[in-house]
Amino acid sequence: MDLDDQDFVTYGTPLEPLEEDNLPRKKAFTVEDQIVTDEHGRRRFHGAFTGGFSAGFFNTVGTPQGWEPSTFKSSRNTRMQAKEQSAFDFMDDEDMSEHGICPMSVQVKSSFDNKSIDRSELKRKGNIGKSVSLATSNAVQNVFKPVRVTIGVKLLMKMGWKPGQGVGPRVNMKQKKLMRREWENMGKVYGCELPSNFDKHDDESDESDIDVDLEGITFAPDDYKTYIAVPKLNLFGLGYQGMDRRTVLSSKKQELSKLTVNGKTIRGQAFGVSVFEEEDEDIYGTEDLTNYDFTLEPEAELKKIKKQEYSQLDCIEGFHVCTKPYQRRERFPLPQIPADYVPLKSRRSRWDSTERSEPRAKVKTVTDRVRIIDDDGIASTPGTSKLSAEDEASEELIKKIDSMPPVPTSSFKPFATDSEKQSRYERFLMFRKFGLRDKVDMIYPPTMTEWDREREKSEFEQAACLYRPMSDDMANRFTVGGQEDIQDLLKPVEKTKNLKQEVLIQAAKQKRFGALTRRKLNWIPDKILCKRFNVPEPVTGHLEKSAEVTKNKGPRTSIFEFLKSNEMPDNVKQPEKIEVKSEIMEEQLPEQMKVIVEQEPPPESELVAETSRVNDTGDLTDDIKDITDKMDLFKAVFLSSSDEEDEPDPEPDVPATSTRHLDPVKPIEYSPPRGIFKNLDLDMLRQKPASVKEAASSESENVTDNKTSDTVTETTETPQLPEIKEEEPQLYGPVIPKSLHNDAAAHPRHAFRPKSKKDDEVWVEKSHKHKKHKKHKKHKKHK
Amino acid sequence: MDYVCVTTVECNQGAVRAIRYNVDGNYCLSCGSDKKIKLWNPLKGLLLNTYAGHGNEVLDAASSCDNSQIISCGADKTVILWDVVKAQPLRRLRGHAGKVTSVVFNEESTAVISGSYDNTVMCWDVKSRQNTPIQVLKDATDCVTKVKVTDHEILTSSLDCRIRRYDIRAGELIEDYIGEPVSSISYTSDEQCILASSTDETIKLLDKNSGELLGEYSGHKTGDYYIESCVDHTDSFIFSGSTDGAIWCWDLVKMIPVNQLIHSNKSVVHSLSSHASTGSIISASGSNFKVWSNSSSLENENESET
Repeated sequence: MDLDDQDFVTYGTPLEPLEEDNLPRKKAFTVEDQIVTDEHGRRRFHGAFTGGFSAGFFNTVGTPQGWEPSTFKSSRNTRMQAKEQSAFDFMDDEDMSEHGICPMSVQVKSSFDNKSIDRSELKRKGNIGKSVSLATSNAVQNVFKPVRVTIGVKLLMKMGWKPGQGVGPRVNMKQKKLMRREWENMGKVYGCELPSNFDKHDDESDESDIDVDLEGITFAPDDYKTYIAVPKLNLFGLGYQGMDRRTVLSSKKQELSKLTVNGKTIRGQAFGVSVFEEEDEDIYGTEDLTNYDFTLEPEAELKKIKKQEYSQLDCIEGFHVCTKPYQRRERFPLPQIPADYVPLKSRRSRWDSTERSEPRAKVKTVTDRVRIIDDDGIASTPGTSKLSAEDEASEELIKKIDSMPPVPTSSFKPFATDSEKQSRYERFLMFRKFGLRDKVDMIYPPTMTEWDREREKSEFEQAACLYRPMSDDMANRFTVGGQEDIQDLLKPVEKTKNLKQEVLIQAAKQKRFGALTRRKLNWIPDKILCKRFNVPEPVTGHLEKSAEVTKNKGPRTSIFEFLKSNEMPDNVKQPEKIEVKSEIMEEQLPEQMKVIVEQEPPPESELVAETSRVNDTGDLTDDIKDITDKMDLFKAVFLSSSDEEDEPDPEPDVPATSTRHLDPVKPIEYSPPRGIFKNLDLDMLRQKPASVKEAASSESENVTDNKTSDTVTETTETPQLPEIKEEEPQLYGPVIPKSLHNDAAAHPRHAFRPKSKKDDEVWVEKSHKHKKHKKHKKHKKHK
Repeated sequence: MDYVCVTTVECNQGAVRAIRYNVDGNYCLSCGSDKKIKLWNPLKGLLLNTYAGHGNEVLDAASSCDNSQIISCGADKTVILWDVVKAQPLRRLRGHAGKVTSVVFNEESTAVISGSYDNTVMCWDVKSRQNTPIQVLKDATDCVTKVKVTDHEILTSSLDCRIRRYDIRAGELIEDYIGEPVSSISYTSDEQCILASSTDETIKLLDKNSGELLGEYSGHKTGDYYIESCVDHTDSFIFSGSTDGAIWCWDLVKMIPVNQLIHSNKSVVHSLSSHASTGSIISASGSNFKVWSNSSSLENENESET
């Protein structure tokens, strides 16, 4: 057409000519056509995160066209198994995917995902090929990364450092390359050393390569590579890598096998092997040195020649004769032992009966040597000739001692092994005995050194101290054993004779009964036994204790007991015991008071009756009718107490020692009249008893202190007081008359104790108390 | 010194192990080997009561001071307190480990002392209900053969040749060596002397206080028996049983045998008891016992009776 040639001005770029196949659609894309597909090509709903949301295909959820979340099932029949719905029932896998509502895959949280560092690292990894694999191997390390960078990194970043860069001043390209090369060469280089100019040349070529544009630009230096030590797991030598066993073409082959042509993969070498063909043996795939020939000659021949060579050379195969001769070390032969030589220390069998022919050379003592030397006339005894006159007396003594035969002072010989030393020791003892201590040096041989002498002297002193014979006092206590050590075990042992027993038997035989055959022992009767026998308990200091002792003891008693029994007549009390008693009494004041109060005098009529009864029994020989004699009256009363006794232990709480020898005066001493007694004129009351007392005292001339105490008891028991006492029996006793009080004060307290020579007195007192108590009890019973 | 056999009583209780007067001598107790004790009126030969309850032979018995109780001991190792009237055991005292050979009441009959083959003497309280002994005297080193009691003493004889006197009042044990095993002891009536018969066929009279030998009486035979001896109430004669079936009688002072009362010709007279107030003794032999009375005392009695 001519029109084309006409001058038309064209604007813009012409559209590409439309191909016939894909003509532009005339209709616009409808909404329906705009489909979003997921990675699998499936249609995808728009999620909130992924660009919108729609409930199914155009909100077709629940409709026959749309997606059904879950089919409704009538739960009428399965009411009990009401299905529990969970949120997952309404989710598909997209919801559970990375960007879904409920992603199920493990991910690194964004907070841990330091993007900036990560990227730079990736970049770095890309740069350094080797470290990539390392990074991947440390997948976990990569997953967990610190959220915060350290202060050092922060500082560096502020200074313009970026992760992945090296630290240091910026360098230009040339320098950087140099550094990189250096870095690369730092490791061990195997193989031939590169010629020195080689490097340079390379550098030059590199320099030429550098862009002129980069001349003025500086770069950050490369980051240092972290050197990772690879653990050695094989047994090869260090740095050994072995031969690469892979086939030469294996890498290519793999590539080839992956090759796809028109959707079909081709396996095998080159273009592959047909389905019906077998693959050729891969000759080059497996490399082995044996497959190669190193020489052109046939093998057998070569070997032969080699063997011949070695045989000629007198040399082991693989070796050759050295040119330098080996220098041998010079050897000297051992000396020849003469045939008649007998070794000094031959081992002797203990079965060897033959005695040693030659005894060992006698060890020469000091004196021996001295003698030898003396014989030679070389040495002379020093000092002996220079004795002064004053020493002469002692010298004589010494001579005397020397002349005396060395009588051993004791059988013990501490230095028996060394006879000379022993004799010296004996002499030493003699010197000591005679008081010649300063001359002790004489006994030592002059050849002995000063030090030796001193040592021996101290040794002797010690021995003398240790083995002193027993002193006489001690020695007397021991006798030589009567029997020898048993030699004949079957010999009957002689009966050891007790000397005392012997004496006894002898006395009995001779009919010398009496003191010889008699033995007195302490024996403590039981409290109850005494009570049953109506006998006061015998006075022994500490009853309980001594009772125990005697129980434990056999019939033998100690010497001390004998002594005691010798000293003390039967009923005499020991003063110290009395003291003890008085102490006890002090302690137990209230109880005593009680007891005293209980000693109410019986009514007069009763007394008379009892005395008459006593008369009937005839136990009492004294004239009892004399009632004025109170002492005898009481005796009479309480001697007749054998009529009844009914309770086993009248005063179980009060120790016998204290109650029995109770001093009735005592409590009064300590308790002045108080309470109702305060206002009583007790002096008046005591008028009558005084007269009685006088009568009593006049009757018995040998009144001792105890008698006075007895009279005091009488005074306390006068019938004037009973009702008052009954009112307050626990606390108060009557006041003793002043005169008596003084009397008591004048005498030591223990003087009040009944020092009865007659047993009856003690007996009376006891039974008296007993009786009283009984009365009291009886009274109670009647109530 | 003319003793006449007044009565002979056949006990019918096996061998009579012991014959004992009561306190006043009006009754007597015979201990039989048939485990029974019989209470007799010795003069009339009247059996008053029988006490059965022992587990073995009865070896000794004693009556209390008020005659209301009897204490007995036996080979069954027990000591039994009897009620006289009821003939029932009141208490059985067990504690001995061997035959109980001798038993006595104390003066008031409130305590009982028993001696045994187990070398001990035990003191029992019969007032209280205590079943254990008040005190055990373990001084003897051999069997205790006889126990005697006074108002304040316990006298024991033992086969270890010793007489032990426990003085309760003085708190002393006085041990006298006799030289021979002592089979029997008794006090003289004044309680100042001790009569001890030993197995060497002698009887020794010892002073209690000094232990000196006052007299020695021999002539009788004891053999292997525990032969008892006693002193009459006047302390003038000493009686002892013998294996020859006679009761030997010695003058105390002169130490010569005065009389031999033939109890039986066959058996051994081993148990004797002397009346406390009248001159009569009672002896047991075999299964019977005989009462011997001094003719003079008999006359006196007759006089008093008339």
